[in-house]
Amino acid sequence: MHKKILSLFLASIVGSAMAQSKIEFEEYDLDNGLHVILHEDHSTPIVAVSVLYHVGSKNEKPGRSGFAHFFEHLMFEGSPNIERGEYMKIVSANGGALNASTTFDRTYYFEILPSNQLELGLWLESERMLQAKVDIEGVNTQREVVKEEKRLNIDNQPYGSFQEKMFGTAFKGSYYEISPIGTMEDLNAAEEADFKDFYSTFYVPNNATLSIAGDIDIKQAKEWINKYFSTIPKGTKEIPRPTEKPAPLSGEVVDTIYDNIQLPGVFIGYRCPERGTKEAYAMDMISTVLADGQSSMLYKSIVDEKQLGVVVQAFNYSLENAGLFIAFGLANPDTELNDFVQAIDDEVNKLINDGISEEDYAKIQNQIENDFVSRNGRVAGIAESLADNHVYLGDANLINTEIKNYREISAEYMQEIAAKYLKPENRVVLKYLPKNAQ
Amino acid sequence: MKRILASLLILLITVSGFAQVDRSIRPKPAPAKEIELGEFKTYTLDNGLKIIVVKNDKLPRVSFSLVVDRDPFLEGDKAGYISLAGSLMRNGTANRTKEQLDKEVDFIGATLFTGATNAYASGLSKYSEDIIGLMADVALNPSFPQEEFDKLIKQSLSSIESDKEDPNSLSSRLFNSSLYGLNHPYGELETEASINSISLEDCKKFYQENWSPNKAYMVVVGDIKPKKAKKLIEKYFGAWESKEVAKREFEMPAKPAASEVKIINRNSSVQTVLTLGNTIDLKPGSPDIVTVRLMNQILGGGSTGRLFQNIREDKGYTYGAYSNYNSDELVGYLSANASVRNEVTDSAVAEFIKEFKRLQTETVGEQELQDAKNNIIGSFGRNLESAQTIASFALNIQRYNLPEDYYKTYIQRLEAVSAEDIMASANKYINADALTITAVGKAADIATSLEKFGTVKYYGFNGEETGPPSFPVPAGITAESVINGYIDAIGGQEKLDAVKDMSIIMSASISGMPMEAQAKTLKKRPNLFLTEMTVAGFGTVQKVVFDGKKGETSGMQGSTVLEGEDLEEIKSQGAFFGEAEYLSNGYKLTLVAINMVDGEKAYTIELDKNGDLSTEYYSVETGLKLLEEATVEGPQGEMTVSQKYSDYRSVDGVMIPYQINISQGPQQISMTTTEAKINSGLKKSDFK
Repeated sequence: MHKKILSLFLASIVGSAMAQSKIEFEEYDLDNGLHVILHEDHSTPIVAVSVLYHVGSKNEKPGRSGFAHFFEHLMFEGSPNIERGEYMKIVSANGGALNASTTFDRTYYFEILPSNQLELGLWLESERMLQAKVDIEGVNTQREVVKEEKRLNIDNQPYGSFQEKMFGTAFKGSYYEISPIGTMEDLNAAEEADFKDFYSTFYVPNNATLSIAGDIDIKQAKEWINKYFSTIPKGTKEIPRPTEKPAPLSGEVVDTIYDNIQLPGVFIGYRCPERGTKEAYAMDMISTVLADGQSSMLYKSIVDEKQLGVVVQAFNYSLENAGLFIAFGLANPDTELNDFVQAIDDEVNKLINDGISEEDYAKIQNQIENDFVSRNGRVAGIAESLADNHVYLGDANLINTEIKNYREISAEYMQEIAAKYLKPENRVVLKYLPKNAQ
Repeated sequence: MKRILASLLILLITVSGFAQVDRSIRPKPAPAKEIELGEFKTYTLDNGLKIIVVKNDKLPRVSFSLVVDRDPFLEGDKAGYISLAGSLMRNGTANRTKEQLDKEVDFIGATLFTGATNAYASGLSKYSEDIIGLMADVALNPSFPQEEFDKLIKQSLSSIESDKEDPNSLSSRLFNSSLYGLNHPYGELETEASINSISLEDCKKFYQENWSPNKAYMVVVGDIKPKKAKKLIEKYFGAWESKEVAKREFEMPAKPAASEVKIINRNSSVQTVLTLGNTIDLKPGSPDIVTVRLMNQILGGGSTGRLFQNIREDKGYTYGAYSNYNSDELVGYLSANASVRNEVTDSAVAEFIKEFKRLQTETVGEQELQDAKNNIIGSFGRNLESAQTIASFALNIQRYNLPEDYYKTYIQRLEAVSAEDIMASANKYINADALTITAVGKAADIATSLEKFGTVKYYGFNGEETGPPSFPVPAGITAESVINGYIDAIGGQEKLDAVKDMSIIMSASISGMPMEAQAKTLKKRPNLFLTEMTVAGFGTVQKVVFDGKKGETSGMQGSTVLEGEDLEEIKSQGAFFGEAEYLSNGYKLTLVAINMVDGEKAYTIELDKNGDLSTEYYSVETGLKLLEEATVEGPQGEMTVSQKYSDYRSVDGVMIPYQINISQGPQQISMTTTEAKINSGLKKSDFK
């Protein structure tokens, strides 16, 4: 009886999917191939101006790892109309904030400005796209800055080498092998010809998406976009895009790394399908049931019941051409790392063998809905999601509808996909042990 | 028809318009829109609980944040217990086990956590009542289960363990404990010992004595009507009973008189985590706040701040350099930080200090000032996108008794700040000559060069002062190579062999003795030796001579002819550059480690000459000898005798230490060379 009431209750809440706050937007192409997306929202007098270039570290030439990211740094150096070092100052002095990021698949720039400065933002981004200027002094300084970034985030951090090692092993021999930060040697090797070639190949309107969200007047915005972007010539080179899938692992890889750490850590990466596929959505949901919240399978078992460690997490990192499902945890000092790995395996096997309870399935629907509605709280996030969905999933409107793709995943399908991918021969296990244990 | 023409015309204009875009003209802003602060509602329940509600239905979400106001709390030898008490509240109530709480929270996709004197819950607004119900349960009915307590202790110990290798955790521990002192609420450190001293009773007691509605604020933000929010809170928190909460007061921590450098050594570091700063007395609501915010913006508030522009964009020393400040009712801080590669650590510190002083001595240019104002106004506007900002404004106004229009007039007050105000604040709030400078990094690479900024001291993980650390000796370096390196450093074997005689005159000051003494040392090959100490008004107080055959010591107590062991000792003192003999003459040498000598890295060599033990230190950088130490039997038992060598100068191509500092027990002798000669043609008759 009790059970029946519970499942009725579940049905009622799962049924009430959110229709609130639909993100309205317009999109179109300029003649030069630049894709434009506009979202109007007057609730705060600010605007996010962003440009997504469809280039990341996977497009780098051999021997030039780290180049896409290094290049991103150089794209703040200026243009014939913006003196070296002025780019950031102009934005800041006009009440704006900016940043940029580079991943395996993309390079993304944005400014968030007071909405009366929209034209300024468009001018800045169009200068970057049309005629970025880089001198040798800038190259040398930014090379040092990038090296410091690598030291800061990787070399000087406990477990900091995890990304390099994980991707280097899981995607060995493919364009996802070397992380976007690259290697010190390759950073030193970059030459002037590389910069010119990279710029004229990838930083062209037909490889870019201009996404704007915030307090704008669409008509006025379009006029300015025309003014600043329509005269930028279309790229003439073919844009190289690796499409062949990285080869699967030929079996489980286990590696032990002795690092400057105190707590043993483990990182397990399972090779997975690429972004936007039904299987990838299922993997997202699997990460939720395994590790989202303290009632999740991994947390409950490892932190609460067996008390093997302080942290256990899992997430599905989907890339354009592949994916990696990563589970990781930090053990207590006296925990045997193999016990920790075994405990993860036990929960994963439970999922594969026993499937997902009705209650857990209802729970993750709520968790996913909460994540989904929380995404669009800020115009900067909206501009980014619109651009991202357009470029990598072929549909900007997924910002409103993607939750349906999750709703369509059944508990049985999750079980099937877990069995397909979460198996030892498809994974890399990195064990981190304190150096003094060596 | 007319219409078509018109639009053709427009088309033409637009086409020719962008053919002529003058890109050199930076677009001017459209008229600025007024920044509007959102509305909020406030209520007070009968038990004193104050409620602030900011309605915002952009997203179907809601958050509840409960803050119990309190004075800072000194936890002493149980440091860590109040946050542990807070975490424990979330792990079991009179009505629900932790497992039940986890299940219910996750089931509605919500978040719930508790801290020492705060609680936060958020989720989808359709579950508002479930969320507030769960929050009330952990805030009002915590059961403090023993089993969960044990778990948290274990987790806390693990997290302390992981901090030990995390350079950023080390840095904040070192900086806070240095700035405020270990015996201050903001400076005390959680340690294994302090965590192990916590009892379950401590946690319960803290909760009982400090959680009270008359001290608390409930801040509600999101898709909920204020009246409904108030009703819900009344339903779940209305019965919470008020109590008296003790007040606690603390003194302002003492400031250092001069800059101090504090280091935690981390041998594996490839970057130094640098923090520089001082405490400030800047309370919330102080009229100086907008000035300090502007000053901080100009100094290091972001990527256009002077620190970032100088240290990253100009020098490329770091990925980011910033400054920060906070206002606080007890004591605030002003600090600057960067992670820089080892070899530029001192250069980075120098640039930080240079930028501090520049703000104190040069007026900020009008444009730079206006740019900084615009930046802050822009950021103020951006933050208003989040309804949480309005809520925090409302909370601050109540909590710190600020004027109702404090945030409405913020921009106006900011615009009124002048360049002179900035300079005055820089002088008032930055102690550029009395900074606490902390560095977490590889001491072997950075310590020496940091000496110039202040006394260097070394600390351990728990804030305890340690001696200078020692470092492993790189492969390939041996005691022999160090000694050979020393011989090369002082001139090379060939040069040394060419020295036939030497005379050195030094002036000596001895601790506790008012008069100046003079020491003369003469040497002539093969091993003639004379040393004589004279004191003005007393004449010769001690003299030791070896004329090649016999040795004699004389002085105020008469003279003695030296024999046996004493004679051998004098003979060896007469040797020229005796270190060369270490490699042959019955010495046993052990290269132990690299240690710090006055901030300089030095190879430490233990010397064993027929059971006579001493330790010598040779500079890694210059190869020169820096220090000799030995333990001798003195009148009051064992004491350490040491001689420090510095201020090496070249005399006919041979490096001579012009400064020697001798320390024997309580006595300190400082000897400064006034004259040094080589091959001046000393005769045998000079050794009498």
